[in-house]
Amino acid sequence: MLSDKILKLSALVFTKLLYVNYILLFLLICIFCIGFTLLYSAGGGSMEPWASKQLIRFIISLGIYFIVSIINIRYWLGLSYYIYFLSLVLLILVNFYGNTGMGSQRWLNLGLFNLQPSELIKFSLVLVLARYFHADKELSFFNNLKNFIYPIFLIMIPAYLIFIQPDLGSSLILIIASLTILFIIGLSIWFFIGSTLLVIIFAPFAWIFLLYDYQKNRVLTFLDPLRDPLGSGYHIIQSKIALGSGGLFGKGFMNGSQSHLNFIPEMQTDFIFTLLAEEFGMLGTIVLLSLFIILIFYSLIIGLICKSRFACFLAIGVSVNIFYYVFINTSMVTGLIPVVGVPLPLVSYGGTSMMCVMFGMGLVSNAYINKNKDLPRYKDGLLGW
Amino acid sequence: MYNEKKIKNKIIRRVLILGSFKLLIFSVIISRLYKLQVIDRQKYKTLANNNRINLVLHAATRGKILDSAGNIIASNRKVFALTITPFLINNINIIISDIKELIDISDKEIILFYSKLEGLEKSDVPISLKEYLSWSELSIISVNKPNLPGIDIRVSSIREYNRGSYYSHIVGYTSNVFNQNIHTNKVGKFTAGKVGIEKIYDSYLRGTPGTEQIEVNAQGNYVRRLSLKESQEGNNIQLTINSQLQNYTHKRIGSNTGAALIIDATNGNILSSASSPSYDPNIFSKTLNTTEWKKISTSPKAPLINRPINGLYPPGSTFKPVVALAALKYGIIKKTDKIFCNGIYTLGNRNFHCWNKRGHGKVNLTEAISQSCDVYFYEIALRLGIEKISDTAKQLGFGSYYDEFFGVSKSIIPSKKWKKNNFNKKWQKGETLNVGIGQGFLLSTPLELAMMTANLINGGKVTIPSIIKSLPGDTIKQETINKNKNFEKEHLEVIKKGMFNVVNSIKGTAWKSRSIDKKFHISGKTGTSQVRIISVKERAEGIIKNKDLPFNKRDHALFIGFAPYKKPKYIAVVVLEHAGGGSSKAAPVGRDLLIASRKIIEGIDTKIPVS
Repeated sequence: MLSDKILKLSALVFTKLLYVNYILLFLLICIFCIGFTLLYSAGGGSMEPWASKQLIRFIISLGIYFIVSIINIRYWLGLSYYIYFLSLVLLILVNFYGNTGMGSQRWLNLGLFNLQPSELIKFSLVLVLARYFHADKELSFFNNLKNFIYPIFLIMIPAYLIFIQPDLGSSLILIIASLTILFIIGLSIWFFIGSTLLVIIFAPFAWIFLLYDYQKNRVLTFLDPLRDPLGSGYHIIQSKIALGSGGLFGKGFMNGSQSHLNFIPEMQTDFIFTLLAEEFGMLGTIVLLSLFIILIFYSLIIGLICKSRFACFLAIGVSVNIFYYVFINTSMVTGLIPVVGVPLPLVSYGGTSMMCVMFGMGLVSNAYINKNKDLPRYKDGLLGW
Repeated sequence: MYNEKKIKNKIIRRVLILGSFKLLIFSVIISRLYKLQVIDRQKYKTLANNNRINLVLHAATRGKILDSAGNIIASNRKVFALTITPFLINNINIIISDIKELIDISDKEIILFYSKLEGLEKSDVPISLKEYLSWSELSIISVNKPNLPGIDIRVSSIREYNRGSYYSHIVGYTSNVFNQNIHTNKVGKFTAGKVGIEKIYDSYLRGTPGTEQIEVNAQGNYVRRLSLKESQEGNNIQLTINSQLQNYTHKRIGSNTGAALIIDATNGNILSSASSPSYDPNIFSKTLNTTEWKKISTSPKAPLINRPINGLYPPGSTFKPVVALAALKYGIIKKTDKIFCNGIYTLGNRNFHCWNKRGHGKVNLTEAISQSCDVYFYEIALRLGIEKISDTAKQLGFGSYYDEFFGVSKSIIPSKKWKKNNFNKKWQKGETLNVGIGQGFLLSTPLELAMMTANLINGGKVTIPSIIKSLPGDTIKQETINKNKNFEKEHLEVIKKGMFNVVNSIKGTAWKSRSIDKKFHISGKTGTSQVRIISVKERAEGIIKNKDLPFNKRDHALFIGFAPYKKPKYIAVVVLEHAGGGSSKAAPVGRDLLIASRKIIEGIDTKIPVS
């Protein structure tokens, strides 16, 4: 009897695994391989200290990807709020017990690995927004003020918690990504025009009252990197030198002088794109960017072909988040925007970011598997399923 | 009821807008990458190389300076310094106290060390703690080196002048100049010539520094060597100076202040050139200490001045042959014409005195030269006028700037125009009389007196001085001795005869400095130049004797001489500051120098009368 059940379950899992989106998986593995190669180079041609750890994390993340993919989408619909609240609790905890990095509390030390709740919340927010708007019938923001206020709260609470860490960059990214999702869902264009105006009006006050000196410095240094070439401008200048000196085809694997001679601090994390650019040139950067573009647009398309709104919003939301990761990281290292601590998904060294991204991609894959499935609306109650 | 399809369409529209927005963003990023990686790549490649490549210069071994026989005058010596590499040491204070137990380290050196250490606490650049280790210190450190991590011995080379002060004015000296690498602020120590041959021929002696490109990391620490171009040793320079003669010249001047020159009469080569007092050039090779420098630079006898080429003296009677030659040239007087000297020459209401109060009686030109009769020269100078005298002087080499002797001071050969330019006053006739006896505004360097002598006695050939015997890669001045077309040979012979009589006639002023060797007759002209004005009152009461005057008011003693008479080989010029009479003080020195030249170069002794 029992063996029958196990057999049935494994058959189910196996059939589900057949439906898992392997194009997505292929793209993810390609991107990871680029990152792995770079970490190997960054370690001075060695698996230590970064490449081997990253490989283990990726293998674990692959497990997450498959599990998230094959779990029935109804469970995700039901679990959305739990996951969101769990993330919020972690965010609150990090403000008390977190480990400090770059002047703010960002990590929870969970023994095996460090957890960065601000990464996790990006995807749980996608879940919760998808869930919320899935349940709403008309997706109207004008007729129903609730539709306006609830999501704003869902977004602003974690954004505030991240802001007081303090991590202005991540908090802004969270807001912008969520607003982008709201835009897709149908929030009026006028809302965006209005809030842009508000931002412009309040920016000077924010500059005076809300920004820390180091943040002001980053913005000023972004505007003029030579203002402080050895201080906060150092990163931008050295990063541009590394990018530029790579040229079309790069200096060759393990030959990046800027990276290997320590001119770029933290090159294995947020600035790993410069290592790619230096060693593999424009060719390398275009290949990686193309992979990301395909990944992002492919996820968007998956979202569009989904029958249920929940699946649709999930895929689009994850795609939007990945887009902002890539956009902000590459613009930052090329000097287009100020230095903000954002990793390059799957390429930068770091556990939480990788697992969260793979979790998100798992949701996209899940949406793909359930693209034809109709999900009942669930109107009331947060924890109905 | 809501329209699901309508909502779906709206979502698709919005996704399309978002998609275009994403494409726009990515095209911005890619064009940015194109700008950085393709358009500006050369600029950033250069910047990346500037970041990682550090150019280190290695000083080349400086060329030697040799005398005419190839003996070394200036060479290089290896010196050893004790250095500490801060990067390799945890506690520098402990290491220093460890070293202090082994060798002597002064507090001054420690203070200097800490000032150099500032900002380099984690650098891998060795910083020197003690320079110029002695052999015993070197061996103590070498033995204990295994117990002293981060301690090293740095070998470098400094200039060594093993012949010391006798050559300091000719050769000059070197000192350290610092060459800063703009990218790394690392400072390289180099030696550069400051004065004399070391300075003029610095580009020959210096050689080509070696360049080493090393890769450094962001902390500036050494990673690996990229390329090395060995330094090329500098060229040697051989001088015309004869060391034995140079030494002798210096010894003969002794403690006198002054200058002495010996010149090869046939080609103008300088065989010896002494300036007294002198200094030890080696003190400049090491880090010069201030008290030593002060002592030298403020000494009243000015040891730093190279007197043979930079000392300006009134030539006194040594100038008389010039005036005599001018008189013959312009037909003012014939060699047989006589002028009566009663000891005083009156011009207007001023009296001009002859050095011999009783007068010389009737004298002709050769007698006037040999007895140095002032009245005779007052008379012919007045007849010539200042312009003719100064023209003749210039034709004999006065006032020429001899390139090779950088920093040669130009003599002052006064003329009407010169006075107008310098004093804005009209020329006075009395001033012509003063110039006639080599006084007044007239000033000359010993080198120019030597050249004048050469031009007078060489049978009408122009002589140019030279101190370089061989210089690699450069053709040395050809010994083309041009004919001096300004003078007639007979006139020059008359002057030469007069100078012969100075030494070899019993009434001659340098009679006591003659030789009795027929093959080596010494000729010349003495000079005693006044550095003060003798008042009428003093003349009436009796002129104060030289030795009773304060040192700096005493007369300069001068002698220009050559030998042998017929085909002169050597010319000697002696100027002794404030030494007294030329005939008693300078002439004996001149004679000795000429005789020594013959002895040293030809190995022949010369007989002189027993005094």
